[in-house]
Amino acid sequence: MSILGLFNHWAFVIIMMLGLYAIIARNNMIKKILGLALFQTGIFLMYITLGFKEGAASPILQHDPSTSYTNPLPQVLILTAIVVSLSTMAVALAIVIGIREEYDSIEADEVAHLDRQQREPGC
Amino acid sequence: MSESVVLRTIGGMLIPYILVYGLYVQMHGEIGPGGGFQAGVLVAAAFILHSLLFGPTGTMRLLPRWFIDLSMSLGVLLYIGTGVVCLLQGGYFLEYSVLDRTDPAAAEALGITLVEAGVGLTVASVILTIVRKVQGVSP
Amino acid sequence: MLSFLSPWAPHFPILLVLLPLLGAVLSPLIGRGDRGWAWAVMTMGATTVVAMALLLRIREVGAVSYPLGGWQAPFGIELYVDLLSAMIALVVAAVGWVVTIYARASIRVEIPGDRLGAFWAVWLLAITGLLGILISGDAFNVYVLLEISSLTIYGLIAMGRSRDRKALVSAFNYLILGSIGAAFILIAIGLLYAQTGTLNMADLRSRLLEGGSEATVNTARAFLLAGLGLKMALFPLHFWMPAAYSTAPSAVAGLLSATATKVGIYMAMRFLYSVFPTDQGALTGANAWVLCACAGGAILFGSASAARQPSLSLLLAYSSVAQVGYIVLGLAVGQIDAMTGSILHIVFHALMKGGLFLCAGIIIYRLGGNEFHRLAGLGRRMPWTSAAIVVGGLGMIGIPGTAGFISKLHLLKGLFVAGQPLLAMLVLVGSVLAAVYTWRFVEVAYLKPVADEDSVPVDEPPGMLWPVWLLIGSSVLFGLHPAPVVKLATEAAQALLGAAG
Repeated sequence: MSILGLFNHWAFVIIMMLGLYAIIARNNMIKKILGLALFQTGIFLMYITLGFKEGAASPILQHDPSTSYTNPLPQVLILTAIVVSLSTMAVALAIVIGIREEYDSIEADEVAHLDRQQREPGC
Repeated sequence: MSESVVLRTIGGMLIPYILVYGLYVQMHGEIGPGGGFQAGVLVAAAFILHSLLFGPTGTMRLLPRWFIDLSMSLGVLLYIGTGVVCLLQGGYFLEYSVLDRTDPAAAEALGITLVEAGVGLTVASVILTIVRKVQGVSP
Repeated sequence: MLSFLSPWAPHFPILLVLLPLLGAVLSPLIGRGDRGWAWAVMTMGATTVVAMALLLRIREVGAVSYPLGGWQAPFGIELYVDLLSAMIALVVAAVGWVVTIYARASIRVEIPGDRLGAFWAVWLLAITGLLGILISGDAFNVYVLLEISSLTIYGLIAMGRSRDRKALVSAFNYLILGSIGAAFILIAIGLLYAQTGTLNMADLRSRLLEGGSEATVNTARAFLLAGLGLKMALFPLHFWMPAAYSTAPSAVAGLLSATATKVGIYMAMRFLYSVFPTDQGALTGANAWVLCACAGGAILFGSASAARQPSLSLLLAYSSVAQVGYIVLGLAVGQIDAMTGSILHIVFHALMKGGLFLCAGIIIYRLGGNEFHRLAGLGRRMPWTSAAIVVGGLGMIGIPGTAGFISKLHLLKGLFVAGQPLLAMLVLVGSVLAAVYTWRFVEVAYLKPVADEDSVPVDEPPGMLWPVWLLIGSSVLFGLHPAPVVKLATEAAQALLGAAG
């Protein structure tokens, strides 16, 4: 198989790395969360690719017995993983709302700066 | 809360249809694409639209906090309860076919319908709770 | 004993998760405050009884399997409990129960009523997730349950905000790192599924043994180790842990230190030895070296950092980094005695460190914080709490007569038998460093001269004190009469390595 034949695999790795870059390089906590969402989406694409079969029907029983189907299991797994990802986003957003209430900022370096000031008053 | 009369009228008309579509997805999930999770999100979407059009406090009056908390718990209870009834009937957890030994196929259908109903109820109320937290109307 | 439960015996595995789940769901309906607390204590009590009964049953009939929905493995989702998982499940349930009893007073002070909300529901849900990981025989279910426990734990840590607003930041950082770790585990499971077409752990193993692409399996193992390393706070992936444990509500810190990282280590044992094929039952080559290096780094760095921390909570958290190192060392060497030592240390460390974090909580409850400058003269002000910390600290060092001695003895024996005297030296150096940080507390609490007003005894709430002494006392009891636990752990280690060999 040629390198370009693995298009989906290239795509999922690139999407994951974009997400990881956003988590590391962005200072804004909401953008970090978006990076995390992107990172997880890359993995979903990997699973969907696992179950994909060229020219196969969606996994709903057809009358023609010779039909070939795509594998439904990775799709079901990813449905679960999407729910997990959604819950992660919800918890993360709730925590960021809390940070905004307590620190009046959602920039990671500003928050860290405020914490340092609290520890060494007078600096 | 939207000021536009057009949005409020058209949006208000849409809400019942979204709810019915949610119910359709809920009931249809047993034999086709769909199911409790998707249906729960659709139902929650109807109420989110309501809160965007008429303000979060209006939706809060419609579906008070205690009601949402209750249905969140009841949904999971319905799910666990179905499983526990299977246990008490002498089967394994969530082994629906023991619910009615004379007609196992109908029992399977009953079991999955109950479980999906529980999932739908919980998902709808959890999504609403999350949105309310972000809207800042939930204490 | 427990014979009244025998009609339910085949269903013990599912009951172990059902009871806390049911408790979690019903607790918002039961109410907040003391009623919610009483409900949580009852739930955890019932769960502990079931865990005990499950362990006894497994001693009798061997490992049990439970097909969910009656669908037989490998097509259905299977619960699989053997001696190792039943032991750790009993530790999680029992320590969870004791910490729940303790939490009543400290939660009332540390979390204001309007924020208390669904605290007990989240608390029980976290324990449900941890117990679920232990009994699952399906790789993907392990991932989902891991996320259930992790998400609830992020929430529990964030509830420390009213004592210390840094709790929110540490919960956020933990969430980002933990989610990346979980995503790595998800990739690993996906690669294994791509290789074998199954998710059932026993089936995975038999298909992996048939051979296949070496590269896929090795990549999966690497992703799994990285992900689990984040989850169990293995050096150098431990950065989230000290911040999270020192800012979380003290009962939560006690629960997490005793259970959460231990369950991560259990997952590593389960995957490395009962899923992945290994040569002669031991890890070889790069995997063993990486794990040993991380464990060695954890022991040295964790113990050395613990001695330099400004507060008792941080000291205990860094000490936990070191203790995870000991456990992973035994796991990586894969020799039978070393593995026994690891399993014993999981149990004993849960008791000792759980107890120590609860002591730190009592100090916060009475003095408002546990920085070392507040602790001068603590030996006279809070005699029972200080004594518990000293006994727990002796256990961390591994003085004969404490439980820590038993587990380290097995670990050392295993390391010598496996021909790793250098690693054994490392364990001894770690113990000396543990003596240094324990001495630091003794010096501040007992020997430092104090002003008169600082030596007035402070009331130690008995409702918090007896759970502490239950944990610390049982660790001493196991140190004096180790035979039954050692026998269990040896059998569990044999089963784990035997399956691999």
